[in-house]
Amino acid sequence: MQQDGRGNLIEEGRISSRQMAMLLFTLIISTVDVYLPAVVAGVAGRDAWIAVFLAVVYALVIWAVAVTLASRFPRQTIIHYSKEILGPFLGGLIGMLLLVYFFFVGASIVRILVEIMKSSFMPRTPLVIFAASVVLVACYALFGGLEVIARVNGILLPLGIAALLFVGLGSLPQVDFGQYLPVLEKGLGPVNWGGVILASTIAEIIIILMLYPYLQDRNRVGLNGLWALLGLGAAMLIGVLAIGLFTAEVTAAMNFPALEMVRVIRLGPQRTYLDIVIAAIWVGGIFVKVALVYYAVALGLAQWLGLRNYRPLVVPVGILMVALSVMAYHGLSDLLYTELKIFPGYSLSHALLIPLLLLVVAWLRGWRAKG
Amino acid sequence: MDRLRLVSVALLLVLVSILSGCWDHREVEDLGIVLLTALDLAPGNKIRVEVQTLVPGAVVGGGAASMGMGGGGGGRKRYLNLVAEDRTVFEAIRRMSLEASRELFFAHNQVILISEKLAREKGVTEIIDFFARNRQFRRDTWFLVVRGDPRDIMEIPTHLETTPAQVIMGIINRQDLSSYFAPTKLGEFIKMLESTGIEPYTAILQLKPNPAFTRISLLPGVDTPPSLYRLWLAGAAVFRQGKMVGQLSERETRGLLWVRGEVRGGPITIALPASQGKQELTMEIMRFGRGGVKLEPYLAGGRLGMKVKVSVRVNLAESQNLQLDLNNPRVISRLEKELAGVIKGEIMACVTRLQEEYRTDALGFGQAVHRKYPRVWRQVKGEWEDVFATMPVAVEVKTVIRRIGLINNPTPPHMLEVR
Repeated sequence: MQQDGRGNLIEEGRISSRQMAMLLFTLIISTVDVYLPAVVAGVAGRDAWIAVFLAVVYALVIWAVAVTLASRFPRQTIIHYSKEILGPFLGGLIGMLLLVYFFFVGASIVRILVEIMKSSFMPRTPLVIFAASVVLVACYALFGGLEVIARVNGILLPLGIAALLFVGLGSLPQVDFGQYLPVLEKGLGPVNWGGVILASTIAEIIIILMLYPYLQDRNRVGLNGLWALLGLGAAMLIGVLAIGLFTAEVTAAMNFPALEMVRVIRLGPQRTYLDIVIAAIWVGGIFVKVALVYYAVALGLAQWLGLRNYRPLVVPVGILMVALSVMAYHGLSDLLYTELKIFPGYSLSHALLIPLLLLVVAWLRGWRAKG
Repeated sequence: MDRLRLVSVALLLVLVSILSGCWDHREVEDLGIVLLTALDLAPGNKIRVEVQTLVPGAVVGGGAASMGMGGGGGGRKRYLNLVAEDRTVFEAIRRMSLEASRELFFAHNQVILISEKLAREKGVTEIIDFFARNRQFRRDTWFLVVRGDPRDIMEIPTHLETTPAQVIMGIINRQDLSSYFAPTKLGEFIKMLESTGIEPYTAILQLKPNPAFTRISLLPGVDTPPSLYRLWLAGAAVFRQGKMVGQLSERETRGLLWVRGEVRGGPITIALPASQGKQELTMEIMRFGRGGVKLEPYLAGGRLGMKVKVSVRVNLAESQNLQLDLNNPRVISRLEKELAGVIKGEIMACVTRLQEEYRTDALGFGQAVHRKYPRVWRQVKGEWEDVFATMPVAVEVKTVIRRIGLINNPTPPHMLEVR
């Protein structure tokens, strides 16, 4: 353990930077196309596609900061080096803030899964059933470790991309591109805000701060992450096809535009109701996302507490995550309000400001603990 | 290994209980599959909801035997209509459960009918919310206006199909054979309703006396008399701010469909002067669609105008004019010009009716203006109704007659010297 800096790395598995990029892609795409097109259509109107470009630019900034910081401390996670940079107390606080952030993200996406299943498919089933079943499966994956999650993602992501392309191409014949005119009618302000909201969700890619030490080829992760972000931009453009399909006004009124997009796809006169098939694939994506965030929390908490193994924490963290997902929101309105009004500031302060602060202080103190 | 296998089997058994759908499991036998939903205005500001459900046993079992009986008569009736009234649509639908033995299931609902009375007096804005909010209704359900009582339409005897709902669907699916009515899907309707610069429209469903009914039909010995009435889809109902304000004739409806780029086929007839009065030629519209029409708003001296450009391809289907030499390209181009005039007439008929009588922009001119002149649009959108009503409209039609069928010239009686 001596050469690993002064941290307890715990995880023995290693993943490649390509697997990492795929994990990041799944992490974002499984939520960003589901309800965000509606939120962004409500804010930026028919210019939501411009907001997507802005969001990618903002996300690249976040990514650059995170990777620069992580590459300075390649053998440690942020839980360790935040203490090293800011001292045990402040650094520990920052580490805890990030753990709470990931924990909150995890609980929120579990709840989003629940809300979609209940609103669209199974309204009478208690929400804790959905929440517990996805966390239970994720729990099992966590005992396998990071490699297992990455490999499962290797199977599920191609399916997910196929589903995404299917939705995009399938709805394309019905998209009226005239709906995107006129461009920038209300100026750049709303578009920019739309971009910020999107970027605040993409900001979850700072999970790299927790996973960087477990990469095999660290020098390539920056570039692979960039590709993942560009791919995400393209995927989000598929999401904003909803505006061409339904107009900005109607899209903004929808709770889950992606689902409505699937519902209008027709493969001939008989094969029309494909939403449940796509939803099944999407649940796979949500599972990977939950597992990854859950993993970050369990691992980070173990490191924060100075434990030698994160596995004893898996079950308690999971139970708490289910509990928070059930208790954090009364209903869908709560969730969407949080997503629109609270989460952008919360997410960006954790994903951009904290790494930036650490980076600046580390630079001022002259970059210790390199390599 | 054996232990692993045991565990796997146990897990699979657990899966069975999960895959059954938890608390939301439903058995097909317990569902009443709704094919058609109709809304009407009831006394006391209530909404009357009428649904048509399929009776599966009758369709599978006694269906063939009573085929000619039009649903009633010999076998069991193949559909069941339920009616209930209440203040909201959902309340009324749940009220039906008091008299229906099965839970109504709307995921296969194909048509939503709105009575003309409801559309005119109350408007559709309030009631349409339920259909967009409910997870069982789909956005590709047809949304039509009914003239008269929807209950009459739901009881019309059927011959080729099993239920009246399927008759309606069949007629709509073959709309491209005429393009004389303008059906709209729920999703499209909501789009037009919520967007600025365009007002919704949809086809009107009504009963008409059956022309195939004759005196002989009722004589003893005739197997099954045809019904006195037939279902008929006609024209278009146009709305303004969610309320139906008027109706377009078949000709005007096609004018509307030309502008909206939704003509997909149908006959079109031109009359040419001939030696014995006028003689008609009918063309069949071949391909058209969204690409065949362009709306070009223009500003002339601060005043908005609209140029509509249409281009169509047709085939000759029938010529009753014996003097025409259809081998001559010049004759063809003369026909093309005549045809352009007829199409222009259809479009202008619709424009005039909408501008002068109903003052509603079902053509989407406002949307075109919004896209091309966003600044001007901001000024005029408040009084768009008036701007639209006084807007000069120019129509340019380009037609191409591609093919003339299997013969070139009409077959004349031998004494006529044509060439």
